[in-house]
Amino acid sequence: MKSNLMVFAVASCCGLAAWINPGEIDRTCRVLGSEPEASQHDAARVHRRAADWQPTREERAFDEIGWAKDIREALRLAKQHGRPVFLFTYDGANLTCYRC
Amino acid sequence: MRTSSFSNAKVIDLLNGYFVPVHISNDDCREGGPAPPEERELRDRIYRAALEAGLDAGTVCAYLVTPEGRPVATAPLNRDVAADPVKLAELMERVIRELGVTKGEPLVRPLPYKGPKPVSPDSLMVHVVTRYLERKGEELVPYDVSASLGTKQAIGWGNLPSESWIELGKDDWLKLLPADDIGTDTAWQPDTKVAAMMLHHFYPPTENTDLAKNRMDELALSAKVESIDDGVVRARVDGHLRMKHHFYHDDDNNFVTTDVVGYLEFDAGKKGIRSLVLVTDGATYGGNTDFLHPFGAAVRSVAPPK
Repeated sequence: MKSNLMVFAVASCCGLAAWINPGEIDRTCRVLGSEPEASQHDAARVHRRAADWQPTREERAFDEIGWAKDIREALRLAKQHGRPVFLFTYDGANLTCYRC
Repeated sequence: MRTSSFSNAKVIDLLNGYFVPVHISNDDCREGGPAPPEERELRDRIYRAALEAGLDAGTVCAYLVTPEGRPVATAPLNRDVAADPVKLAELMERVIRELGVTKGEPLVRPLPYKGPKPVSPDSLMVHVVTRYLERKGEELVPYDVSASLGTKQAIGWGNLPSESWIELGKDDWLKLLPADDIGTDTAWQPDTKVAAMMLHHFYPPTENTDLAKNRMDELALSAKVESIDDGVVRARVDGHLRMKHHFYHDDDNNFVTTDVVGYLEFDAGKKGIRSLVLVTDGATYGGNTDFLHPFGAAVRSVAPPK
């Protein structure tokens, strides 16, 4: 299966990093008591599946990088602090939006 | 890059400690794209300066640039350096030595992306995550990439999830609710145009992310009240989706096919949706080969970023 996907691989830059409000997790994982048992089971399964598919911390590594918001800001900070700029240009959806 | 170098601890440490990292999409720089003209000009200027300096350059490329804006090293993706964390770290360390840079704190505080701020306070923000799955016994589970993330071997479309954030205005999310009075046996069809605003994102990571190229062949959703407690309606949602979605930018005859199941909680007075969750059930993507890739997609309502 993975080898099939590797055929598709060009320049991997896919998305990561979910922002999940902790309160949202509590709420979505709640199963109301008034539904039949089968329904509760289905609801728990749906919420667990949604939770299991969220990005993991390791998959969010991109968020550990302190990206400047644009090239102008990067060059301004570079001059101010005497640091080089690392500019990455790429095709496809903006990496910030985690869809590519 | 995200699966390999940008997930590598050493590269991340070098970027934060010695450089000012920045990225820009060439797509955003196209005519009519969201990148401001000044950004396009700077990107083009650095590209031309790299070529004039005799460096390799390209559209998908890392440029290591002095504080004065002069490129001193480059790593085009097709030269086997940018996506190889070991080689990229060596290149970065060489530049650090040559420029005599000392280590410091990140100049921009790393922050997780929380999605766009909603245009209206009445909007419902939803978050979509999609990822390829693999079978482990009876279960379809996310790929275990913990051993390969941050290495050259991690390159591949299947190794990270994709995410999207969507804002549903009040006029939109109201159409997901029943039009008539609500009782414990109420059943209805949520508006498919509003549902499509979310389900258009139900495709696994692919190079093509242009929603306008999707062709929704089948989209059906139905909802039924399961309970009403203290003025809160809880309904189950079931549906089916078949959508053509190109993996690359041209038509490659690939389709998403899936059932959808989820739950919707809203105020009986229809003042707001309290929570929404939808997940795929048995989703596959493919069609131009014999193999259909299993994948999962999930929608969850989220609080808007502050």
